[in-house]
Amino acid sequence: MRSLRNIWAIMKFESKVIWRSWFFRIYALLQLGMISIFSLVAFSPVGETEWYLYSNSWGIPYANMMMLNLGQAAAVIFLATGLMKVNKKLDTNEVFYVRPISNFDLVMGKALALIKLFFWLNVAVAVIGIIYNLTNPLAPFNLIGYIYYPLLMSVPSVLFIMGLSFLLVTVLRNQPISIILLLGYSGTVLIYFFEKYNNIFDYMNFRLPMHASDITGFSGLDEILLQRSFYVIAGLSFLLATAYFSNRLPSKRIGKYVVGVASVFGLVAATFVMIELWDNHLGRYEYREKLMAINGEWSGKPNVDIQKHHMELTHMGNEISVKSTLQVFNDEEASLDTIYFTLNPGLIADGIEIDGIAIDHQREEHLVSVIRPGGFPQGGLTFEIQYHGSVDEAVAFLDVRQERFEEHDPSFIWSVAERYAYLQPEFVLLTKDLMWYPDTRIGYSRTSSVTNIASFVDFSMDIRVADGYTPVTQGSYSVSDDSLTHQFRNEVALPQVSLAIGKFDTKTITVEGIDFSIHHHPDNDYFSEYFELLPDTLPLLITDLKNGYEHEQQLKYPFRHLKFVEVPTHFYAYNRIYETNQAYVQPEMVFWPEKGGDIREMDFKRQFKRMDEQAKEQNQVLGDKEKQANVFTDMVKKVFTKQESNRWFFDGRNTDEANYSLFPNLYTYNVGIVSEEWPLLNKGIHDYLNRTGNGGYDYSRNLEGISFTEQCNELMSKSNLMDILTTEEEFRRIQKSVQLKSEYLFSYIDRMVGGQAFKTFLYDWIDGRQHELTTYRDFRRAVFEKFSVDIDPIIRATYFETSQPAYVITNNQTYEIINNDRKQYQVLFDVKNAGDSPGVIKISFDAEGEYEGWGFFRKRNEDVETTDDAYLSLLDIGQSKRYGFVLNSKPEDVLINTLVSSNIPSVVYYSPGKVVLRENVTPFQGERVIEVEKQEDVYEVIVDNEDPGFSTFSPIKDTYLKAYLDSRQEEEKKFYGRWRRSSSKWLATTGSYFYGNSIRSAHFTRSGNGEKTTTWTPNLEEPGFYDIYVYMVGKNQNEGRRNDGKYTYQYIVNHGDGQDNITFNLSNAENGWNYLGSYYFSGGDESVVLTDRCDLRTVYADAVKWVKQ
Amino acid sequence: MHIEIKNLSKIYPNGFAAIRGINLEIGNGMFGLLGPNGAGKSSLMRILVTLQKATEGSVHIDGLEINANRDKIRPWIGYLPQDFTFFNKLKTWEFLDYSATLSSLDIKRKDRLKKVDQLLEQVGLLDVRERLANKLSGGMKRRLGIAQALIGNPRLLVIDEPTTGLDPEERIRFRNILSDLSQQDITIILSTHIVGDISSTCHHMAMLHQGEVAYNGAPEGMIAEVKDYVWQVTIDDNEFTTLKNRYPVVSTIPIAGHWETQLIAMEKPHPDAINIAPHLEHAYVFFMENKLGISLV
Repeated sequence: MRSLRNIWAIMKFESKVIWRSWFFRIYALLQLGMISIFSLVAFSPVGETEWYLYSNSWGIPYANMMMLNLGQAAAVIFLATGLMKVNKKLDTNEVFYVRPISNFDLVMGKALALIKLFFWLNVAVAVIGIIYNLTNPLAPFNLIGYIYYPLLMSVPSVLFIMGLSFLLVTVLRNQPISIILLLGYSGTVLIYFFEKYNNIFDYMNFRLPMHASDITGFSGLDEILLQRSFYVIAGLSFLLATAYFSNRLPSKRIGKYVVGVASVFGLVAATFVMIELWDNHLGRYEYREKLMAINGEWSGKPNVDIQKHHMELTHMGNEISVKSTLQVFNDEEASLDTIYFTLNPGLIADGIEIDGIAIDHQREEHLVSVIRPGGFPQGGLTFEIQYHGSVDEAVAFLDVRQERFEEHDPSFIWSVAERYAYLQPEFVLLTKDLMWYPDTRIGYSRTSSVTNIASFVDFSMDIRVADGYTPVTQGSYSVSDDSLTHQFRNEVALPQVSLAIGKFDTKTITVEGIDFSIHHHPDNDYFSEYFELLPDTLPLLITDLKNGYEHEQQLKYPFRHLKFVEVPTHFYAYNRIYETNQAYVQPEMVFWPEKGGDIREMDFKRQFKRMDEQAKEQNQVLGDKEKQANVFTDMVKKVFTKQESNRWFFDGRNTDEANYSLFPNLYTYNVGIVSEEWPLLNKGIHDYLNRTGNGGYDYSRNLEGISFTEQCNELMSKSNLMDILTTEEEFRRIQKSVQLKSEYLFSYIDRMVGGQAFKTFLYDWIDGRQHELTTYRDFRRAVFEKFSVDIDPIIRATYFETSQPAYVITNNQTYEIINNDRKQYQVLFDVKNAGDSPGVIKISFDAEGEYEGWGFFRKRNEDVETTDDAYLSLLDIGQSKRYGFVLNSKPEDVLINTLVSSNIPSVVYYSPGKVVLRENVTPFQGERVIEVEKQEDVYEVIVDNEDPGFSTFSPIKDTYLKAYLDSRQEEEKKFYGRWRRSSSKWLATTGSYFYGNSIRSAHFTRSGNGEKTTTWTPNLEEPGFYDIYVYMVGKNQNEGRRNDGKYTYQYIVNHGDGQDNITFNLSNAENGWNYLGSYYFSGGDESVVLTDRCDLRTVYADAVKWVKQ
Repeated sequence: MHIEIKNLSKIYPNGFAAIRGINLEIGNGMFGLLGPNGAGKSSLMRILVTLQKATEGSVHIDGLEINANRDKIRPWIGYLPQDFTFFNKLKTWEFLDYSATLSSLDIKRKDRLKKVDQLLEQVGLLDVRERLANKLSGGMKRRLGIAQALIGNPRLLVIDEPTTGLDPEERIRFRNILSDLSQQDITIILSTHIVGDISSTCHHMAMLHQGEVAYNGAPEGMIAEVKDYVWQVTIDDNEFTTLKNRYPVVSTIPIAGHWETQLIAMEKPHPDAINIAPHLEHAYVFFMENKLGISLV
């Protein structure tokens, strides 16, 4: 009692002292101010707030608490060490220590003082959040969030770091050193450890996934509580240890020992919790390894195919109970000893019957096998498998590496747990990745690749759920006569089925025989109000969209239903090497994220606003209905059909970004090729046929110096694709390499067989094999019969070859011609394959007009050129070709995509610039081999920035920080992104507008006062008068500024007669060679120098040419 | 209250012996601890107030050994340490209230605040109760220090060097407060190296030197020992230099080109020297010079 009174008194007065300290007040003011501004920008209807930031009721309290938690962790370090420091032997506190108080009272009192202050700070932050929450009419309010997050985030973080600070400063007896150590520790955790090892070390809760769903609440709450409890227990233990080690108050020995023992107990308990967390982390990893090993063991064994599968499923809280009736067929050449199924290890197989006779089964994790004396002969069998239980999510995505599997995808500043399935009372979501029904396919192992689809099955399902809940799965829906059973029957065979059960509200519309339905949580209909004028026109809109999409893809949607099911925010799916799509898209079904998640096109409020702004800019007047139709169409085209895409993207940034493209329904879930030899083939065809909108402008080159495509090309020049698949290479590189090789492979085959013939063949083949699989053997034979081309060696070469072509593009010219009294444009250029492998190039144009022969005008896209109608051409090793195109309108850019090559940039584009009329010219269209290279009749010397004659000079030294950061680079980079804009060096970068053969590069630096220079020194064999030309970017160099003639480059020409300074006006510059002047060069030590003096931000140094007069 | 200190020693980990076998008995009233810096006064006081443990020996307060009965004894103690600063951000009354809350006072908040104001009035700080404690003057801080030491109604008040650095007015004021307190049923141990503090307030005293008790008894007893050895003489510069080099000088006052000098000498130091009545300061110097062998010449 006495102790409690002491603690209370110390807490009361110490908190008063801290509260009156400037440090705390300034910190609190800054923290609250920052969170207020942050909330204003992120959550208030005043700003350009995005819907996904406030659509989830847990979002605002979580984000605010995260902002607070990072700051308060640092503040606690300063305050706690200050509270416990010992200034001098005799200090003011001693007058209190002679009071009847103990070290324990003192430590706990001070600890509570800090907790009290941070409690009120948390309350203030919660109030800020609540104010913004309540003043935004569209933001749902959830009071629980404002209680849970402080408890789960703040309390453990503050307790832990406070306890550690107290202990450290008590033991070290030195506040500055303690602060340095603690800040170092926190920084290390924040920067390095926060997302490693399942977030075990993330004491600040920076990345521990705690975003909750309005449908299912927290995800993985057990794990969260376990992690947070470690920091609570450890923090308390540290406080007790502080009391034990504190010698400031001589206290009773027994009291000291009690505190010491309690501290040790606490630390032991914390250790146990940590071990449990670590075991969970390792256990999951080991378990997944075990499952893969089992897969490897069974992957080669013959098995039956499932033809028909009927499920009678009952949902009971956290479990399902299912009776599966499977009609299987043994089409092997002999009878089978064993038949096996995969089934989630959480589901217990209660009994198996074959043709009505019970049979024993063996179970090894997810493998259920039955052996019958005498075996299973060829032909059909009926299995009945009764099972029940929950599902273990660890079985999902075995082909996804552990690091990726454990990564949490940040959304805004939240960390969101990844869930692959739900089986809980309020929501169920099961996909085939969870093995929730018996299947005869074997999943991924280290020794065998995933077989994407094993067979197409005739699925049907009878489902019983609790009152108020609705199941959604594939097929036509009806209710049994007793109204208790929901029946789903499929009209066609499917490769897989999935199941969602929830309190869904359903909106259905039938268009052209297809039922389109939206299934959403009752409180989550945020979209209807935006489209209230559309009901009449919606069928027409959908018809247009569907027909437009089918026309573009040249494939028909093969099902009678398309169900859009809202799923909790945690549901996550991966891109995978061997699979064509993510699990968000299922047969006849799309799982869209809760309230649209962070899908920009589902942020309807902003979409309408943007549309209004655009209309205003273009002086358009749009009716409300028209706007609604436009926003709806835009959403469908950008999100689901991918006919349009956003303008900018960073290739390779996040390969697991959600993809809701419906294309798998046209191909993967409709048809497919099974190939053990070439498991990537099916995915390759999928990617080849999938026509998406232009990818937009990839800015990876601006950041990295070369594009992501080129990085992968470089990777593939060192390792063949098969090796890349099995190495520890980053997934994004593997995925991109597979994509590039697939594009190359089919472009190559396409060009070999000529025109559109191969693609037409593929479409016919899909039409003729709806809802069934083809073996690779049959496919290969069919291609051979049609084109007399054996694709096998081509595929082998593509996948195993590391040598690459390298193209040198020269003599590009564009001019106007009069052809049949019509003004047209002749485009000509030469391409030589200087590499060590034959290759294919794709040529297209960016213009407003159209081309007579092919419709291959496309918007400019430097690095991802996705058009299918581009002109394809094969070039053998050493071969040179001249290409000619006659266009009806002037092209803005000519694009030459070199596909898999050693070219940098891999997509070369050039702008024809001003074109002139040439009369009496015979138009040339097509390609022809150039036998002899053109010999120049004038003597010229070119010094490029990659040549030995080029040098750079900079007297400016890097800052220590910069030098340190550079020294940490694993390998020295050759090229740097232009957005880097170095101020102390000249760095090399790449781009189409630069001079070069297969590598087009230039050096650049941030403009300065003339100190930094580059020098081109030619090796002139003949003295004489030379015209000097410099290769320039041209108009594009103006960096978006208005060119008023004031931007200049400063050149110094060191020639035979002395030195001349030349100010070159950039407004006169064209992309390419620009005349600088004519001088006498004796062949001695002469050069052209460019300084960094310029009013533009960046100066580029590329190539200089000396042409003898 | 009766304090019995037996054979008390304190040796610090670095080997320095701050106290060596001290034996003292202290009763009610003011008890002065006199001694030069480093004599061991503060160590003794910290042991008495249970802030540190002795290496050897024992201290009993009313028959209770202090280390074994720390919880019982602490509520009896009020302590004003030598180096005394305040929490930066507490007001005068809040500081006292904090002390009151931590003391063994078991009274309601209202009564506690009343007592705080009473004490502030007693030490003359009621007018500045709202002022931040660290903004008080040096004397005020000392008085607030006394107030906090008194807040728990202590039976033993331990005050370490309370008047160091105070101006004369504050020093007198402080002594008066101590005198008033000494009238109450309370033991006050006053540690100081300022002789005047002891002579004007204490009836019992001990003199410490190098951790040992050099004198223990009434100040009058110590003064009696110096009777006949305190001389006063008025001399010129040359004579002053001569005497200063031979005898410890207690005071010198310049008078019309000469020096009125008081000094300690076993024999008559100058033909004109006259014997004067000694006081404690003379006794202190005599002890230092003749008993403890510390040359002040």
